[in-house]
Amino acid sequence: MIEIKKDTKLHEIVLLDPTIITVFYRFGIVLGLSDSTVESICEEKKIDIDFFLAILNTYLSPSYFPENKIRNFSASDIVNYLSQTNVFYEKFQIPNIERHFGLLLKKTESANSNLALMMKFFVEVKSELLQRIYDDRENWFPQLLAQYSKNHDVVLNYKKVDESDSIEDKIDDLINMFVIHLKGDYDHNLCQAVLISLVNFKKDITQNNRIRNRILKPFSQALHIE
Amino acid sequence: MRNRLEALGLSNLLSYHYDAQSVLYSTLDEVPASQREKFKVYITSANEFLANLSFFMPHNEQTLIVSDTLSGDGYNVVSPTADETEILAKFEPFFHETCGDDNQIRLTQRETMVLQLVVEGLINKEIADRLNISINTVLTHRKNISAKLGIKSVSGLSVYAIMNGIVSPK
Repeated sequence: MIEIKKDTKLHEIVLLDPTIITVFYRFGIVLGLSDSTVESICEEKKIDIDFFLAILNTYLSPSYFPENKIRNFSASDIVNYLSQTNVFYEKFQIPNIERHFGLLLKKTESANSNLALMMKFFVEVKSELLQRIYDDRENWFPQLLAQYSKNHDVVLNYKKVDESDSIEDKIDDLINMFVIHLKGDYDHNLCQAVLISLVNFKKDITQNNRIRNRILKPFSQALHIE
Repeated sequence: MRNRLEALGLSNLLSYHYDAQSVLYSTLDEVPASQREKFKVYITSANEFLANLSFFMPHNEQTLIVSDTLSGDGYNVVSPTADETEILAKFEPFFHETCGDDNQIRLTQRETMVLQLVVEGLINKEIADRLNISINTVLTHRKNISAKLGIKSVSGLSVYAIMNGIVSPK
């Protein structure tokens, strides 16, 4: 995977990996990208270019971890980005999967109890994610920002190994249920739509967790937040 | 096998973990000629293997040699002094009993039992106690179940188990 730089054109990034448009949305960048480059859009939208580049490259490449650059980011930039990500999950991505899943169940002519079970499992994953978003919004992020405003001089010990995450594991399980274990009659097109939305969601969650666990948690630990 | 006690222990282990039925013979010569080809798996000592190469070599894929000294190159060898987990891992490909139809992912009967207990909500220690096996063996079974099914979480395993009639929905 190529490294995105200041002069990389935004449309080239989207053509490289169309799922990255969800990251663009969180920075207020929408389709109709014209000839904008990373640098020009950051100037226009008043985005910290190093932070934007770090987010894009972390999303595109699992091995990318710009430790030296990250040291200069503020906790508030990261919290702000992750808050936008949470809003995106809550308002768009989860309802989108639910909508496809609901249609799939509705359009499946004979009652397929497996799909109903899988939908129930998705609802469990959704509840767990919504609870995490609630905890972020009500507890973790406000505490972190409050402590950070008193003490910007924190020494961070970054984690370079990704931890196993219950939500990621469960989405993986759900994807594998579709790919490996699905039985009975179902609408193939809608099934594909649910699967693609789940795969995109998994990719996004993985990237989001990498930022949470590798960058924001070390901030949190340095500020002695439980 | 070197002795009757070792052979009986092996026979019990195969029955307990894989529901496999075994017939014990001291030497290959004791096996009636008409029966020799009828076994799915042959477990033998290194001495017996070497003394009967003309029989065992054509059946190499089905033969497991119990030996501390023989090298494993080209042969299936299990050490009698290895730990339980390692021994079971060696036996696993030979006693791969299926649960369900031919197109389904293959879980051994032992793995199915572990899966049922995981879905029941038992922790590894409780599963080990219930099945009278070590925690390491439980962990090996769980690792194999997740690798075969592509499902890691207990909730996901529960859904799989219900979908495949391994447990009844509550």
